Amino acid sequence: MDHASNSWPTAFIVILWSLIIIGAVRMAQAGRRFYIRRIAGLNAIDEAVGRATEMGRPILMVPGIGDIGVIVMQALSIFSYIAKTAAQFGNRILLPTGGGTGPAIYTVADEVMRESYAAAGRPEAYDPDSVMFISDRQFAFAAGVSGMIYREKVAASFLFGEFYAEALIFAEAGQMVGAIQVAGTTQTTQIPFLIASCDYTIIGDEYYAASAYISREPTLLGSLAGQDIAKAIIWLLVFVGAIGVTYYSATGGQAAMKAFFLNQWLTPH
Amino acid sequence: MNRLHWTQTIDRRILYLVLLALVVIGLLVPIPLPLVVGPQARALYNAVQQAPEDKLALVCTNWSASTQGENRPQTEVILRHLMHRHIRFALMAFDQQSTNLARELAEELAPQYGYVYGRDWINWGYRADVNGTLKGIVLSIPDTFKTDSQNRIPLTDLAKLPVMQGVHNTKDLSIIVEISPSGVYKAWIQFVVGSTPAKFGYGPTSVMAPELYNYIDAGQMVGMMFGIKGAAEYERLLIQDGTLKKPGFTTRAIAPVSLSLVLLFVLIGLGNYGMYATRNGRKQEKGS
Amino acid sequence: MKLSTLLSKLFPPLHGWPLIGALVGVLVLCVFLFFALHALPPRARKMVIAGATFLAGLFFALEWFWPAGADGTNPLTFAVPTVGNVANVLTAFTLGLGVMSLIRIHGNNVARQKAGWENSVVLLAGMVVMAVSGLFFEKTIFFRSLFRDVLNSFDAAMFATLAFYIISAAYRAFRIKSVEATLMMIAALVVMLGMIPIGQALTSFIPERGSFLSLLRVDNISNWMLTILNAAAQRAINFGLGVGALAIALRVWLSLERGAYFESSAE
Repeated sequence: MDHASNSWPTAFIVILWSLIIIGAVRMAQAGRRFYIRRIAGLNAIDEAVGRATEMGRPILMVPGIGDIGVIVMQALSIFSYIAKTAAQFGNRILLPTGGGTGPAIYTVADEVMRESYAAAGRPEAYDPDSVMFISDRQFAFAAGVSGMIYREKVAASFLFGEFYAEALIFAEAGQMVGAIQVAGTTQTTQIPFLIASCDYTIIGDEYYAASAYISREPTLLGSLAGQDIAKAIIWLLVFVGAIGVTYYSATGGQAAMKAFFLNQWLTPH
Repeated sequence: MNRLHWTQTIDRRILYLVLLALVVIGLLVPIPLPLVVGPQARALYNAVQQAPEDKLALVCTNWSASTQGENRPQTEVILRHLMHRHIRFALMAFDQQSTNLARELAEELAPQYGYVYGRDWINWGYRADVNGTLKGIVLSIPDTFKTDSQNRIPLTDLAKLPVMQGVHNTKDLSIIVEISPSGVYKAWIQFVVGSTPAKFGYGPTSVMAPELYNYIDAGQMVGMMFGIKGAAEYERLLIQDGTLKKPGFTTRAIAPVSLSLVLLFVLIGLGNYGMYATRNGRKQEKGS
Repeated sequence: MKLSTLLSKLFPPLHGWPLIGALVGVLVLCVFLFFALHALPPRARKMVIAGATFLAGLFFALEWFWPAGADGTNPLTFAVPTVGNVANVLTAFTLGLGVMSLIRIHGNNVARQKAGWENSVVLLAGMVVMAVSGLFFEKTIFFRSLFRDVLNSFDAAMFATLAFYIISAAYRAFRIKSVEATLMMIAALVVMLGMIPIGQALTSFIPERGSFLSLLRVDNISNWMLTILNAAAQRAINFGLGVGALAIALRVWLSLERGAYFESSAE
């Protein structure tokens, strides 16, 4: 069984990053302002909701088929923002859930949408049937959602969360009905397909930045700043390690490379 | 040059028909194509070839009927290799369909190699939670699975399940191969790879392959066969070492894959040619 | 006394009526806790939830950080399979929740004869037939036909539609409109050629290895792009995702999310 005592450098790095992130969050909560750059895909959300309002067609939000966890919670926080805007304009929303823990996501999503409508001052406008559980099977979920897209002719489609092969099915279905599509996922394998089919795609880390960008909540902005500092440390380690390994392999061979302290500390034994 | 505008706006139904025709032709008409075995598939093959014979191999499947086109041939070549080397193996699954599909495949292949359930192979069954299960098998496999999936015999009953002889946790495994269309490999690398001398190989769908090279580079994954092409490469190696007498459907299925990609090239080329030709035509019209 | 020994004494394995009694007792306790939680004021409820979240996450964090002995275990390691089994049971319960949700929604559709209610009838009938045949007629040809010939075929067909969608998406989207798009197109072309036998045949006359010219083989170039260029980019993205996941996990575990996600800071 792997423990911190097997890899103290890993434990040290985890603790260091945790302290940095928590520290940055506390600083943000105390009033420190952090800058966040423009993310095109997120700016397009308001445009997409506006377009759906003009066309009088519903907005589709799909949180992916991943298990309930941080990625789904991020997706639901973005959908909460979209739902508040939609509630203000009287737009219809559709939020199908699926995957192994789809039922659990359904209950959380239902609660989130209910609170979003209440926060927008329109609790009576919330339709409980707009959030639904389709299936825990990947392609049954894909069939259900793509059928929904064709029948409802959605005007805007937001795909945020963990997607696998069904991502392209959703995106192409949305293309066929002429929806404006914004997608964001941490699954690097699906990014090429979403870029090819969607109008805006949020890649990698931008996904985690999305909720901070939209809400500008101090906790989220501070967390983002902490993450950036942690990534800067990684960059430094990679740079130093690459220089060191290159130098020692050019001058000292394998033995000298092994003797280089970073190699000893950072590689698993 | 408006007469080339059609190259950019071909009806998708025509595209689908052409693709369908090419796939059917590729499947029905034998097209002998040269196949170069990639280093990743070769590394996985070598790992299975060198795996200790006296320990239990673990084949974890996470695929369902949707990806069986790619994952079933991968599972088949691995099982054939293990059975040819007389290595006992255990099946487990993190997908509900997979436990049945993999079991059916093993039951189909076992008689060809004289493998008997309970003596040479076993099905531990399906588990819903990946992280909890992997953490559990690192400590104790019998405590995590308790019984086999088919006959509900306790894993500690060695009289009925001699295949479990000497198997307590992941340290007692010969090799671990996961065949999966999803990202379960991360949990294996996180929780299992560091705790066992058994090497870890992977059989993903083709689309997942790009994200796995890191782990092969880092040594956390010994090799992989991606998609049906990887399975065909592995099958080629099995033919070379005498495990298989002749290529099967797996190798023949490469032809429609190749033809589909050729169609993709043609369409992308056509679309771009039409775009530039139309743009040049507009420029000339504006200039005149 | 070791923690595992103490817990074994406090909670010995039960069988028969004592087990049923324990299960009923736990059920009653859970119902009581459920209503008690509902009766709490919102602020107190949030504190209870934050405390429970912290304790639940503390187990794995503590188990990992607690130094292990020579046998690779620490005083908490014994509980890892048990906690894993608890997670398995919880995950399995969500399936029941899904079934209830489906019955509720589609039953409602049928009862109120909403648009498309006939599809809901088919869904509910299919669910019942599949469940009954799987539970009671698993070894029969009926269930095997339903599983293999219906379910598996539909699943495979849906995945197969991706091939068609990829063709139409690539044809529509892959236009060389900029320098970056050109580079991407060249890379994609080379990698694809290196993957398929037809592409590999183009440079099959060049020796596979052992010669400088081997670098010009399309499969070698493709492999180099995947293992060097692609791997570097994937690694960079994975670093960011890993740090992001740690940040969010910390926020959820320590309930720093309060006032961040779904509620106003004033609560």
